Amino acid sequence: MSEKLDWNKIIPLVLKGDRSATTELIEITQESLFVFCFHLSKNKQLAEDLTHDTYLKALTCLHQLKEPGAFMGWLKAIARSLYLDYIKSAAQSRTHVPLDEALDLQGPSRLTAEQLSALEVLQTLSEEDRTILILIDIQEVSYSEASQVLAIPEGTVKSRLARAREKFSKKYNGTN
Amino acid sequence: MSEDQNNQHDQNSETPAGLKSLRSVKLQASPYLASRVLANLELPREDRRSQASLFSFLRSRFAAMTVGLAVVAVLAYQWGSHPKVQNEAQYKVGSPYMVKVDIRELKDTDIAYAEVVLDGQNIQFSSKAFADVNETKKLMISWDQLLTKQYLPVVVKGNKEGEAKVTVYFYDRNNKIVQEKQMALSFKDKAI
Repeated sequence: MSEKLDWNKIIPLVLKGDRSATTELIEITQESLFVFCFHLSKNKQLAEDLTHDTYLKALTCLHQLKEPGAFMGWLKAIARSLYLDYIKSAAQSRTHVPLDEALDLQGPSRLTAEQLSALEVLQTLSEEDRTILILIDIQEVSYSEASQVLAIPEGTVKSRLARAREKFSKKYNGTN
Repeated sequence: MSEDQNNQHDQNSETPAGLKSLRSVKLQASPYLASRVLANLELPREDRRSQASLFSFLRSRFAAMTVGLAVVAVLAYQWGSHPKVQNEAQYKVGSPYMVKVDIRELKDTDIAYAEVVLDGQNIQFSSKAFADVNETKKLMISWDQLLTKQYLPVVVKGNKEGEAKVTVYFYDRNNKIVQEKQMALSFKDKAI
């Protein structure tokens, strides 16, 4: 999760073109955004590209952000939108990339069996189910932020979450 | 408990165990991400390029590149470290060629990314998988993806006779050019 930032202070600075404020904004939020992009795209390389493109778009359109405090939800909504555009146009999006190759993890940061199983099951779910589980169950964002990312009411977030959890659990428990 | 805290409590208590385990998976983007974003932001709008289609072409398709080429002609020229034109070589119009930029001497330098720039109306990048690459004259490549490579491969094609240049600029984390390599290419209609 991103560190606490004073959004009302940093966003106006970034809008004015303050380079160190922009760098700080990226460095503090990039982990959360990258994790989101990774779980969404199922591929580390693509996640890096999506993260980069998301910042590029967000910083170019930052004047459209109505509420500075909603920056993270807005950023992830952009990331999701770019991902959806990407999978529509890129043929290789249908390629299944082996998890070890996608993650490129070595040594002590290698995944546990439980984590690998969970990731494999997550990969099989639809983008809609995967996104809601990533946001709420992995990244622990609020219903409000998830509602912003997915552009759906909070009530719909809750009902979709329940269905996505059920689908995940059925598959996960079936493999463990 | 406030409504938000109630909601958060509900959320956590019903999270499937497998998904909870994923919260501790450590994932990090490239340490040069901020530099790349800032560098791209400073380009004119028409020169900013989406990374998802362009970087993926070079970063994740090394093995596939030779398979995709119509003509497999690998040229291993030793490029000079000065921005002078050296080793002008001749190529056939319409055929893609992979030119390998020797980067072995740059391994211990503080390079963050490289930018490949095509100079000439008659030269373009060549990719069958990513058609939009063919329309651009500049490509940016993250250095961390090249750390285990000895050469930076650039696939180009001439679309009519004439001279062209390929220049690679190497940038540090402060977006300053620390090294530059250039090669001249001459395209002819007939096979050389």
